[in-house]
Amino acid sequence: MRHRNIIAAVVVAAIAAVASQAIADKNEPSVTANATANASTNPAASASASASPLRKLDVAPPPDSESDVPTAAEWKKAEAVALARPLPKACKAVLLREWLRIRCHDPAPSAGMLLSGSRKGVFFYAWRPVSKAHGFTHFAAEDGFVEAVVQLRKGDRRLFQLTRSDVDSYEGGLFGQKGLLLVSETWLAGDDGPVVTVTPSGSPAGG
Amino acid sequence: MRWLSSALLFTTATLVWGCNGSGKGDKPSASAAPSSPTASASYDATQLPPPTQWHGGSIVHAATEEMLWVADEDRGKVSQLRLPLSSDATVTDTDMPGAPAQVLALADRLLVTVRDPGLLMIMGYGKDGLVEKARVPLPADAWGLAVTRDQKTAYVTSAWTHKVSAVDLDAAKVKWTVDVAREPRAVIAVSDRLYVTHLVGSELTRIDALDSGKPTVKRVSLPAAPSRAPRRDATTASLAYSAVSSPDGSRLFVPRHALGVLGNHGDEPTWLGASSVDVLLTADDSPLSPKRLGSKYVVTLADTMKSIADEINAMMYVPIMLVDGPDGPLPHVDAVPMVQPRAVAYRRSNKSLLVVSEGDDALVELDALSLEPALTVIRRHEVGRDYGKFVKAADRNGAPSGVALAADESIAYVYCRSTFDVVAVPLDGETKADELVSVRLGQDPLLHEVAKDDPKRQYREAAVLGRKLFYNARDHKISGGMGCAGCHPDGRDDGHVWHEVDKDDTVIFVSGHGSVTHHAEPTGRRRTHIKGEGKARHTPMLAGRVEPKGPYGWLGESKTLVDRIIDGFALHRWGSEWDSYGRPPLEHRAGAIAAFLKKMPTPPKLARELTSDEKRGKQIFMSKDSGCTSCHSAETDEYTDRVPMLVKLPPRRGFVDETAAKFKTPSLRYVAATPPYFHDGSVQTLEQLIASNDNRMGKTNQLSAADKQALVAFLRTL
Repeated sequence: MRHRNIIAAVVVAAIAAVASQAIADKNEPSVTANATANASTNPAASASASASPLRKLDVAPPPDSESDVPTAAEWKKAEAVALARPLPKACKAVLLREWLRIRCHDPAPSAGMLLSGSRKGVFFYAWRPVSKAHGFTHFAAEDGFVEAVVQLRKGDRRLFQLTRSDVDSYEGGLFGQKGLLLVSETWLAGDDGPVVTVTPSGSPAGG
Repeated sequence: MRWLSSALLFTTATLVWGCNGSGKGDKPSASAAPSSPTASASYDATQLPPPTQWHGGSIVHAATEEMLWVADEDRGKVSQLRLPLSSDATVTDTDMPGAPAQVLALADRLLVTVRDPGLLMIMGYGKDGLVEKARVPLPADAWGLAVTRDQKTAYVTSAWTHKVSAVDLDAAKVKWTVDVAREPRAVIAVSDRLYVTHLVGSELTRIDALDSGKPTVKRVSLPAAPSRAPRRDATTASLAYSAVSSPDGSRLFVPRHALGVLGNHGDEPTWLGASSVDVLLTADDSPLSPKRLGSKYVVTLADTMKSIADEINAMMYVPIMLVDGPDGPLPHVDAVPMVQPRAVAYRRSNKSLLVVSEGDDALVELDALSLEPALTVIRRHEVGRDYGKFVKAADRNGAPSGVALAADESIAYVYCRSTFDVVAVPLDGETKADELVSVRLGQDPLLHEVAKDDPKRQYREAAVLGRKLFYNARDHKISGGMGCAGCHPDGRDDGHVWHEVDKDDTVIFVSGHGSVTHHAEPTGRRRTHIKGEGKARHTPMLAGRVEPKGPYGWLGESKTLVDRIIDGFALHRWGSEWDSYGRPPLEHRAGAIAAFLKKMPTPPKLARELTSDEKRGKQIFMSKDSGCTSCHSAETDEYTDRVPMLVKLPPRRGFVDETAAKFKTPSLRYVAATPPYFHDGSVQTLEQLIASNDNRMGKTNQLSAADKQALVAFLRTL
């Protein structure tokens, strides 16, 4: 129980820190507010990141430094970067110092789950617009987003997943989750830079 | 604020192929003396163009021409196809002295492994077809193949006899042979060493000091599907037929079947395990993927977030998230992107892996940059077609078992074992299976010399269907997602001990203890419920052991082979829909599979005189004092009376106690190569089995150490 309280406190602190960031990001041009349906489709049909002149993270790596997680104000100066594979249309990746933020819009963002690798320097956020009506708070029709903020360091090996709510599996007060995107991040000795891939989770086979 | 309760947070010639081979080429006679060793170094192989790949495959692209070579194991031929492939392409066959397993096309020679007798065939490209240059005798069941960069040495695995050999290609002589673990298959040369995969278990074999004359052998750990492993139980693996290295040799990719993994599929669990591609970093032989975190906590934010939510509400966004689930985080992905991964190719232009999925007739492209490539599917190409109306088995392009890339990597050529087809798959488009160019290499040999009015014809046709069904995981009346070949590769066994569990009102197999406990409690949205830890059931070997009428099953519970196969249909699935299928369609399928099993090649067995030690062992085995033959009857070459007996093995951890259960006396045929032993796989070697018998079976306590050794030596000859 004590463990849970500590975790809860940490989470609350993280949320408080991001709340202001989210407010600041509210005016950021939406990457693809209406393209979210493509987020889980074939990656070959995904964005034109490879054709853009964006800095390629795997050949132009971030500094080998350790800094604090960027503030909302700092994120506004972040540089859009290209990852090892084109991103799904609904996603955008930006880099600030050694911090990478991957944000993906989705109608029902739900969660981030670190599957393997170091927990240090990893934050997940899912935000969903709400509206109030008849005294109740409801999810609004607009898209929300789910994002991962990751500190890129040499030696990294991480696998994490961003999920969406599965409205077809509601039971016991909990919505189930469906995979949205699977992110693999590695920066091995001998690599020029971090290799990050973002793959829609629902495989072409079905999933 | 009710919605807040839904929130979750963290939680690879110059010569010379005239290319107009006659088709029936020069048949290498099995009795012909080996010709002179290749070319006697009249050339410098290092000056030749490199092969398209440095390891063998059932299908490979020629080194210097637009041509494919196919090792058509079941027809016993090496086939040549010119490119571009057309549906009316001429197939040029060369008979081999046994079943060819792999080919490797050098610029001036074609290397072919032959299973039985174990051989490396060194073939030259003659004007009218392949010409035998030399044949090198090897331990039986020669299978995997690789060649050094100077093209002077070939390395060959021998599956059944669990050996790896080095062959001097110029001298056509074996340089050395070493013993390795069960069922070695792929062999990949990386830098100054070899990596060998196995059909049984998750470990690889590494062989060093290749040029020393005294190569060293060690095991290399490579956990299977680490991000899906249970927290407390280890995973294992099977079906590692293939492997490929990255172009720089830094990573070794091993597609296989992971056993004992967890899945995040609500009520569609990974009863069978899950397909995986595990990556080894060759710099230090470490697995690329870290172990799953598996932290077990759930953070509920409903109350603590209220004030923050109110604040954020002002800008119409709220944070919604919680981390981890009760079992720790598991990937929400298709756990089975491919079924029975059978071969792999590395696509340099896309840094991706092309894996053929034997069980569901597909070619799957995976991200080679990923920590776990099997979780990151780039594209899936269906290749199977002409499925039966009632039996969902492909009549074309069934059971893909080999893949080779075009020189520009725009097309993959896939060899399909159950239908004897080669199909061209454009990789960058989405071509429907029935639009793919496909060539049939030849007729199913089961139908050779059997006229349509021959009484045997019907049975043979059933066996042809059985071949298709044996590899097939798409027909839901047979199984819930895995073909017979998934657990019985080559009709042998995967060396795995399954959990036979009660689930709801059915009895099914689950691949691991962690999977069992994962589904033991009806938590969350999970509506299924497994009771107990399950009975231990070691996968039995089939090939060469299915002639008796019956009974079958570890308990002798199935009266006939067909009955056993039908019972297997029920056991190998998660759901209970099998109940509604009715007996006739099941009998049709089971009969076909049984017919095929009886025609399936048996493991190689060298006919020879027994040594003196083996003769002594036979005397002991046959003696009344030992009593072995009272159950392991010597009247049949199966060495079993098939009668259930008490074995009284101590309960094995993780399984239910079956001390009182009677187990059918198992066949001793091929016993040497089928560890572990007993229904629960609790004994790893025949030596241990005899040493720990303690008169449990027959009487062995009175035997001297030398006699026990002799008995084991005899058992190895069966």
